[in-house]
Amino acid sequence: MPNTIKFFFSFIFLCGIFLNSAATGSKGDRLYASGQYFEASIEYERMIFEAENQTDLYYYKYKKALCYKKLRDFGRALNELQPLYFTNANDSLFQRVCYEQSLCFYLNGEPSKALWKIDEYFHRSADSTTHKVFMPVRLLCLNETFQWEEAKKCFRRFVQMQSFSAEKEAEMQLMVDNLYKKRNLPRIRSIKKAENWSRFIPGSGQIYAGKTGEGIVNFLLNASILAFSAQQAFNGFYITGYLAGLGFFNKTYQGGIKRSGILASQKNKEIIVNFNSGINALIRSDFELN
Amino acid sequence: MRYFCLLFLLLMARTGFAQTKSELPFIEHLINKGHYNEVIHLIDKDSLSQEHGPRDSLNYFKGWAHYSLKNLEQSTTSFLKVGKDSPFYLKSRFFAGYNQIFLENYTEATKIISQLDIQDEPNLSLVNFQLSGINMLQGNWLKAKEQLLEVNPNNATLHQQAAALEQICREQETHRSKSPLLAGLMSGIIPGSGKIYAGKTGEGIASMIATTGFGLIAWENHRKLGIASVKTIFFGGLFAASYFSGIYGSVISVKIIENEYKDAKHNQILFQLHIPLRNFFE
Repeated sequence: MPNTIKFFFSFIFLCGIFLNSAATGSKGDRLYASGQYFEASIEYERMIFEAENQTDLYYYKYKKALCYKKLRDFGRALNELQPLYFTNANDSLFQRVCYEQSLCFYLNGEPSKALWKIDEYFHRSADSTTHKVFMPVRLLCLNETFQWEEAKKCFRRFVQMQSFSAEKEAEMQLMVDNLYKKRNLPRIRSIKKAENWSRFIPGSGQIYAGKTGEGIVNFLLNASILAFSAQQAFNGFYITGYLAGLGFFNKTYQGGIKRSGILASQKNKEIIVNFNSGINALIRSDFELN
Repeated sequence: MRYFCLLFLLLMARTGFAQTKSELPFIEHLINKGHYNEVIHLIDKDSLSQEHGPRDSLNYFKGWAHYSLKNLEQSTTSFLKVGKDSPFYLKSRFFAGYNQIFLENYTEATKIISQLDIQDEPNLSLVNFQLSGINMLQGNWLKAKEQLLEVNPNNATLHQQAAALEQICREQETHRSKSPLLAGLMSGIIPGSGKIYAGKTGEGIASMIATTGFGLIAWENHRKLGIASVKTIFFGGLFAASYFSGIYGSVISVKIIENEYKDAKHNQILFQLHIPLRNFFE
């Protein structure tokens, strides 16, 4: 057999081996692209198992975390990303990992941790042009933690980072200033204040938290029990007044205080979700993320 | 031509067997990382389950994944498919038996463990230990004690757990059940005292305060308004409801306490049966 043919077959053989080993990696990508995230996560785990260097390992862990994010299992996504440590802060994977970590923290209901992660990235990364992608998550997290001044600065900076015309930029900056004016900001209910209101006037904490009807019913209930108690004592039924009246009143009074705190907390969540969904829609329609 | 054939065969061999060869260590890796759902998914894929060679190992890993996910019925089914030639055979059988014990299918568990037909130590001691535990759970305390005596006392892995099972046997012999009738009577005389006797001190005191409170209110209204007054009838009714429900509650409390005692013992036995299984095979 001539040497040329021998080399030809050797080439085919080596190609076969290479394609066989490369197939698994692309299989994960194929599954991910077709929306089979669970299956894709297994294939990426296989690549992690077979990875020969840290770069590959980190990359497949990142891809696996993306699968978990798509499956809305943010806890597992974070578990994959948390152990990754990058010595070189200019590594593009470092940016993507930090972004996914902060996004997963936010989606997992931990905005403070998301802010901590973004701040860590800003601190370590010298290239401020890469900060742009983090801005929407940072803005939403700052809103969730009621840091209005910081959120306003973040939004203004995000506007500056866009390639808007001077006119459009000025319009956007004005819109941000308006959005964060005190009168336009969502009215956050203080849990402590709601409880204290109910402590002094039963039912008023519920009204403060936005549940007027419930507050009025609570007030009437407490007032009638207290009136019954006083009427019994006035007529000489001291035991009935004390035990049946005040004993029952104590339960409804303490319960009302606790309930007003819960209502205030629920109202705050509702307000922030509405406020952030407005900002989210605005960013999606008018802003560039990359 | 020969060179071509050799290359072709090598390529075919690689593509044909590579998956089977590489799949087992990967599945083991997934098990070690606690990715049990992934293991089940991989093994359930047709291409793998039809492989002939590693079928026993795959059944073992599938059984283990189900066991870790607390799918004990599925785990048993997979464990029982592991063949006698597999190095995982004994472990699979013992864990299948334990699954059935946990599911309270004691007859099935006894059958699985007895079918092992083991004559040699230390596995024979483990069989006797497990069978003794099953008898305890079924309430056959005498038979359990006899079987426990057949466990080799020099077996270091089983020694501590066998002693613990013996202790449970002794406690069972000395345990005196509380009387629901006595608890009811006590609550009839002093409201709440029956619950205190049953061991629920907090509930007893709360019941005592509530019943006394309603009693005082009813007494006050009766003294000032007479028996025919609506208020007296209302608060008297509340007092009566509190009083009789207290008696009923005391009777129930004793039954609950007894059930809690039985459950605690049941869980202790299950725990003691589980420890040597892990120690024996890991």
